[in-house]
Formats: sequence, structure tokens, C-alpha cells
Amino acid sequence: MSLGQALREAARRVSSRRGLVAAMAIAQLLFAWIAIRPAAAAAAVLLDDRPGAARLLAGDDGLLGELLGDQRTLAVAGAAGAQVALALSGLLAWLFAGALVILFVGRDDEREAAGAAGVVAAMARAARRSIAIGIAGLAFRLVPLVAAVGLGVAIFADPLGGFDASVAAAVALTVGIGLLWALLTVALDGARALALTRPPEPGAGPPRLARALLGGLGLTFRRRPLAALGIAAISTIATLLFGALDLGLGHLTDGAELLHLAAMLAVELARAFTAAALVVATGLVAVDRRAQGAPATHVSS
Amino acid sequence: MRAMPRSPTALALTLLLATTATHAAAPPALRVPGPLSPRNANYTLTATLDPAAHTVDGEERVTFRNVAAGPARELVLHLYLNAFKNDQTTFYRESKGQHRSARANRHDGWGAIEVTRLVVDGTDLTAALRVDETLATVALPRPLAPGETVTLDVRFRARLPRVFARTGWYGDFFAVAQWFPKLAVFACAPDGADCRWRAHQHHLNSEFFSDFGVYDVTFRAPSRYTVAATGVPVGTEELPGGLRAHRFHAEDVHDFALALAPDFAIVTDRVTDGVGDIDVVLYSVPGHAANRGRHLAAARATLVELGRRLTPYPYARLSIVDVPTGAEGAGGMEYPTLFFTFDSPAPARVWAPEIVTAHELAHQWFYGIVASDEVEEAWLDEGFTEASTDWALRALQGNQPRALVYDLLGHRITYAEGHRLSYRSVATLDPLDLHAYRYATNRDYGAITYGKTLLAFTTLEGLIGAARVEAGMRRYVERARFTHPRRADFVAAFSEGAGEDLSWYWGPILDGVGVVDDAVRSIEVREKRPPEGLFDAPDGGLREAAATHRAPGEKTTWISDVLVERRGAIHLPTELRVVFTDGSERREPWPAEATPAWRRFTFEGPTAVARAELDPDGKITLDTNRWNDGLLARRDPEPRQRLSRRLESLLLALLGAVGL
Repeated sequence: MSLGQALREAARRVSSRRGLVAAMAIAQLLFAWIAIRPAAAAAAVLLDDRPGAARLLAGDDGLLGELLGDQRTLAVAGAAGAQVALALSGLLAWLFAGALVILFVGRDDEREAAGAAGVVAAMARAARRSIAIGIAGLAFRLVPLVAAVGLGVAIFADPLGGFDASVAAAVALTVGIGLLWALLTVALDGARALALTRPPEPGAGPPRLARALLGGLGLTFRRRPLAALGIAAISTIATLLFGALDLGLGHLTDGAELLHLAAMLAVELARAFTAAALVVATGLVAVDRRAQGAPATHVSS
Repeated sequence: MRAMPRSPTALALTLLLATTATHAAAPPALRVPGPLSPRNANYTLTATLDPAAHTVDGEERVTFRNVAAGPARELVLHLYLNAFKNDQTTFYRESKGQHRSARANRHDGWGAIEVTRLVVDGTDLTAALRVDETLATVALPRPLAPGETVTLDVRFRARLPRVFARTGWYGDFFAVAQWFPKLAVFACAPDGADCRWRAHQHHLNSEFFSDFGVYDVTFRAPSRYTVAATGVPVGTEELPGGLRAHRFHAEDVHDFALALAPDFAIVTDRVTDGVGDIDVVLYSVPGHAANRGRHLAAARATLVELGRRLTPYPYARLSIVDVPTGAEGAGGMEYPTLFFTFDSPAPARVWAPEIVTAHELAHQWFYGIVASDEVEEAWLDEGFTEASTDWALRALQGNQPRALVYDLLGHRITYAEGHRLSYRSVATLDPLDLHAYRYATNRDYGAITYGKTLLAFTTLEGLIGAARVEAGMRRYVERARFTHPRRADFVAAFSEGAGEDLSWYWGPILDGVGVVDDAVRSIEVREKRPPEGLFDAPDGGLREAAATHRAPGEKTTWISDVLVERRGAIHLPTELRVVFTDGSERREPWPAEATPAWRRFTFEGPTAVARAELDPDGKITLDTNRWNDGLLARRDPEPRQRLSRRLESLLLALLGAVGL
């Protein structure tokens, strides 16, 4: 199956479960909203009766510095909220990824019934293996993180002829690290597809997980490197695009709560759809028998 | 006490100098007729750099004239390089081997200076020299009376440290500074009492202090090096062994520094002001090409602006050395007519490179021309330099009312505000008028000496007007140039220039740890009602006045009480602005009365007060708490909600980046 076929097929299948995409998007919005609450509540006591709040909003960073210098708990609460959101979002992303594989990549006879109950059942079925792959994948994630920090320090410790060159290098580094991060995501999604769609083997526990991880890495870097690179590139571009939309639209609409919510929901829906389609496309490529050296038999459309 | 040299070394040095003196005529070091200073400490130096050993072997002849009102019974020399001798020196113990962000290298990084011969007026006093870390003292055979001159012939070997604090080497780059034995400053009270050498050990926070003079320097180094130095270059001479002798001449300066590197890229500029031309030479290093124009533009703006406001830069040449990456410890340091800047990757509206260059160049006025004591009164040096940097940056940034550190993507911070954030965190720790090494911490020293002084000036601009502050500073510079002024000299000259005795202002600012913190404590709004209750009737007895309803069409009258308070010990005159619910506003002055520390402003009218703000134009930059400067009568959650939504967007972008 070519990458184009896989992407089209994935988009078609994911489109059939709009509720699932909406749930993914709303979950992200909820996580972000909840994560901000403790800091926002504390800030209300400090800011709501001060004219300085409007100046802070207008970009007076002196007031921001004074506020954070005096009220360090604000920053701590914000950071803690972000960490919790990140952890919960990551865990839910693993569960959703498992469900997506079960629902859209597995054999026809394994697919769960439609509806929310079917999604929850698929998440439950996939949970153990999907989370195990996610946790194992954290070790792989360290590679781009360490590379990003190391190269970032190197670039700015030795500016490459001034700001322009350094910024260009930093942008290239960001894109490169982002691409590596996305390639690892492809590998882990591929591993997840292999782990969840192959029939269980008697006595196979951790070794099966290891085989799936190796299979995912093999898919990404050996068997279908171009397809993996294509998916990773789409993922990187989508990350940059949706990130820019989050920040840009978020800034433009922050004066009107409903409009802001609508804008953020639209971005999150698009992001969730893209993320789901890429997980499914990766799965389809991973379980494609021809890619594994056998005729394709179980991937049906 | 002047005499012909009697030792063979001194005689040889004299002959050598006499020979080289005929080699070439010195180009003018000054743009204005000299002498500008007493020229009472004149140096003729000959030295050779061994780049492999990181040593400088040199000989110097110093002619010193006692310009104080009393006799000097000994001589004190600074041996600054001994600060880097080991980890037990005053400097090293205080710094713990770290200066700003640079760290000392304990393996091959030590530095020291050794005086191997000292001849005073022909008498060899080498054995009598007492060295205590960075100070060397020798008793004079007889007191040096006011007006008398003494000649020192000194041979020395300097070992440069690996650079982490102002001086030393890094690879093939050399910042040769504080590298020769240099006389301290001998001073007395005007009546001849309290004579002493104003010399201290070299501390982490203290810099340098010495007398003005003429410097003639011959510096030998391998011919592959380009050499930047204080003063003007006089000529070069090729020597055997691949060496080249570089000769420099400087007048009316009080120190001499050099920088050497084989790969300096030289970029020149010529700045013309009312006096004439200044040759600006930037010695840049590979990899720093992008910001060369920014450094030169900052230098140009600073030369013109401070020349206009204070006094024209008097020297013919200005050398700027951009230190290589890795040698940042040498960067951000000033010497007469030469300073070390450093580069940083910053976008166009982040003025990081310009700030370093403007600050170090502003030192040419406060350090170079006005040579206050950097150890005992660092605020007169660093603090005034910061105030001048603020002026220079305003000019560079298009005559902004306040200099900016950055103005990018809708966010900005002023130079004063950046200092305020540092100052407010240590404001009550130490006063401003304090010896540099007596501050509690290095951070405290920086925030108060640099920051509080700048804030004192910007606040004073708000209180008496920028023009009078400029006039006060100009008068001080006119009075103090090429001298060693003290605090009293500044206060008197500044008050005279500003046209007002400002000791009421400078006293608490300099001596105390009190702060300015004006706050709006509360706003209370109530409807004005007719009197109710029991009142004495005119015919005796009591009369009850009952509550009455407003007649149709009668408008409500509101009474608004705004309670303001001064939470800090320093009380400055300020202004209260109240904004009413219909958008109209009123301003009321609040004089700097000592007591009470609060005042209630009452406003009566058809609209109530919606918002009250003290110092609405942000004049009092010393205020340690800006948030409590204003208060709303009713809470308004919208700004905070908008901030929350922006943070949510940021978090969504982060979650999405991880998830996709």
C-alpha cells in the first residue's frame, strides 16, 4: 500500500467516526482549561482590582516581572498545571491511539461495534499494550530531546556569525528535531499497530512487545523509510501549522470568550483529525503484508 | 625629589626611551588643547608578550608628582594581577572563581605579577618592597612634599590568567589589562589633613582607580598579532625573532590596556561633532560580522549624545574590541579610549549588543574623564554610566522618552524598568553610598550601584524635569573632569547646575535603605444623602429628619474617598489621577509631606470614581511596587481572563506538538 493510498484510506475511515475525533479535540481543550485554573484563580485575587492588569496585557513586561518575582506560586501553579495536563494528555493519546488501531486497522472481525461504547471497549482492549509501548517509547523520545538541548546550547554558545545565522540554525534544528520526534512517533504508532493486530502467541509477553517495537523501528527506518518520512513530514508541518493557529487565533480572539472557544475548537478538531488519520495511516502501512514480504490479505477497505 | 637615574637598569631604560622617542613623532592623542589633567603619574613602558607562556616582561619608568596637600611617606602600587594568583586571594575567595557568567580555569588559569626590581630616584628599594596580594608598598627615604616629584624604575613580569574576569588570554586572544605595576592615588583633605593612599585590595566588586598622566608604551609581540591599545598608535618596528614593536601614545588617561589577536577584522568609522573628528576603530573577531554595524551605530550615538549633553569626547581615537566567543569574561570592560564589548545573537529590536557598547563607551565620561574612586564610591562611576547609557540608548532608539531593552512582538521593557526589577529585590539590603566590597552580595552590589543610581536619575527627571537633570550633570562633569571627585563634589555641582539644592533628595537616596512605595489603599464610593436622624431644633428640643426620596429628575451625587499611603521611607511628591465612571478624569498633587504617610482624597460629583492611580505617568521609577500604584473601584476580571485564554492557547500548542 502506498503512502497516498494509506493516507486516503485513513482519512476515509477516521471521517466515519466524527464523534471520536470530537472527543479527542474536546479532551485537549479540557486539559488545557483545567491546567490553567489554579493559576487563573490565584491571579484573580491579584489582578482583578488593579489597573496594571490591562497594562500587563498590553505587553508591559516590567509588570509581569514584578508579578512573577513577588508571586512565584503563580508560575509554580501554572507549571504544575501544565505538567499534569501533559501527563494526562499523553496517557489519553496512547489510549486513543490503541483504540484507533483496533477500530480502523485491525481485521474486520476484530473491529468493535460503532458508538461510544465501542470506542471505550477498544480503548480498554488496547490499553495495556498501547500504554506499554508508550512508556517504552519515552526512552526513544530522549534521543531528540537530548539532541535538541545539546545542539541548541552549541548554537547559542557559539553564535554563527550573528543573529540571522543563529536563528536560521535554530529553525533548522527545530525542524530537524521535530522531524526526528515525528519519525519516532511513526515508529511507535507502527509498533502499536503490530502489537494490537497480530494474533496473540502462546507465552508471549514482553518479548512480543519488544518485537513490536523492533518492527515499528524497522518499518520507519528500514522497510518503509520514505512512507515513514512522509508521515513524519506531514506531522511536523501540521504541528507547526496548528501551533501557529493556536497562538495566532488565540491571541486574536482572546477578547471574546465564545469566539475564542470556537476558534480553539476548530483548530483542535482539525488537529485531532490529522493526528488520528496519521496514526491509522501508519498502522495501515505497518500491517501491509506486502511491506512485510507477504501478499496483502487482511487490510480491507 | 627628582634625580637622574643612578642604577644601570634605569640608565639603560632612559637611553632606550630616548632612542625610541626619536623614532617617530606622536600623532595628536587629543582633539582639544592639553594638558587636560594634572598629569602627575606618567608612564613610559616597554614590554614583550610571550604568547606561549602567557607572560609579559616589562620595564616602566613612572614619574609621580604629589598633587595632594600633604606629604607622602610611602608609595603604594597596585599589582592587580595577583588577584588571580591562587584560590586564597581576596578576589578569588569573594568570586569563588566566577565573574558574571565566566568561570576560572584552575588547571592553567592562574595569573600573577612580580616586581623584580624597584629603583626610586636612583635608589634600589627592591628589597624594601612589601607585597600584600594586590598592593605593594615601599617606604620613601624621605617624605615627598606637595609638588615634589619622584621617579620609579620598575622591572616586572606579568603572568596573564586564562580570562574569566576582565584580563587574560583565551586561545590566541589576549586582553592585556591591569598588567603593569600602577601607582595608587594619594589624596588629602583640602586642609592637608587625613592624607592617605586610597588603595584597597582588588575585590570581586571593585574596579580601578589611579592618577592621570601621559603614557608612552612600546609593546612587542609576534608579528602575526594585530594590536589594539589605549591612545593612538605611533608606529611599528620589525624586530629580530619575528617580533614587532607597537608604539602607542596617550595623554590625560589613567590606565593603559591592550588587546591582541591574529584574526581581528578592523572596521573603522569617523564621528564628527562640534570639536572635530573622532576615529572609531572596531576590532571584531570572525563569526561576529553580523552585528558590527550595530556596535558602531551604538558608539556613534553615544559619542554624539554624551558629547552634547556632558562634554565632548576629548580624545582623537576610540578603540572597541569585540571579544571572541569563549572570552566573554574580558567583555564589558572599559579602559581609557578603549573598551571591550561582546556580541550576542539578538534580533533588531532587542538592544543587547548596543547596550554593552553604549555602557562601556559611557564609561569614557564616568571613569575616563571624571575619574571617581571606583572602590569607595562605585555609584559615581557605574551608576552615572548607567544613567548616561540610558540617554545614549534613547538617542539611538529615536529619542524615546525611556530607553528600551527590547520591543518585540508586542512586548517591551525599558532600561530603567529592567533595573527596577533587580533593585526592588535587594532594595533594603544596603545603601548606595558604600564601598564596593562591603555589599552583601555581588547581585546586591550590581542592583544598587548600577540600578538604584539610574532609577534615582530617571525619577529626578520626572520630579524636576529632564533639562535640569541634564544641566546638573553637565555642571558636575565640567567641574569634575580630569579630577577625582567625591560625593560632596557631585551634590554641590549637580545642585548648582540644576538650580536647586537637591541634598534633600540625594541624602536619603544615598545613605538609607528606605524605598519609595506609594500605594492606593482603598476606594470607597457612596451616594450623598440628606442628613437623617435627630437634630437640635432652633426652638429647643429635637427635630427628626427622615430619609427622603429623590425627586423625579434629581440626579444622584456620589462621594468617592480614595485613600493613598506611602509604604516606603522615602516620600517624594507625586500625583493622583482618578478616572470617573463617565471616563472623565482629575489629577491631584500629593506633596512629599513626611507625616502622615497617608491622605484621603474625597471627590464629590455626579459620577463616582472608577479608578485611581498614583504617579500615572510613571515618573517615579524608583517605586518598588508598581502594582499597588493603582486600584479599581470594582473588580474587572477581563484582563485576567484574556491572559488565561492566551495561556490556554499556548498550552494547546504545546500539547499538540507532543501529541502529533
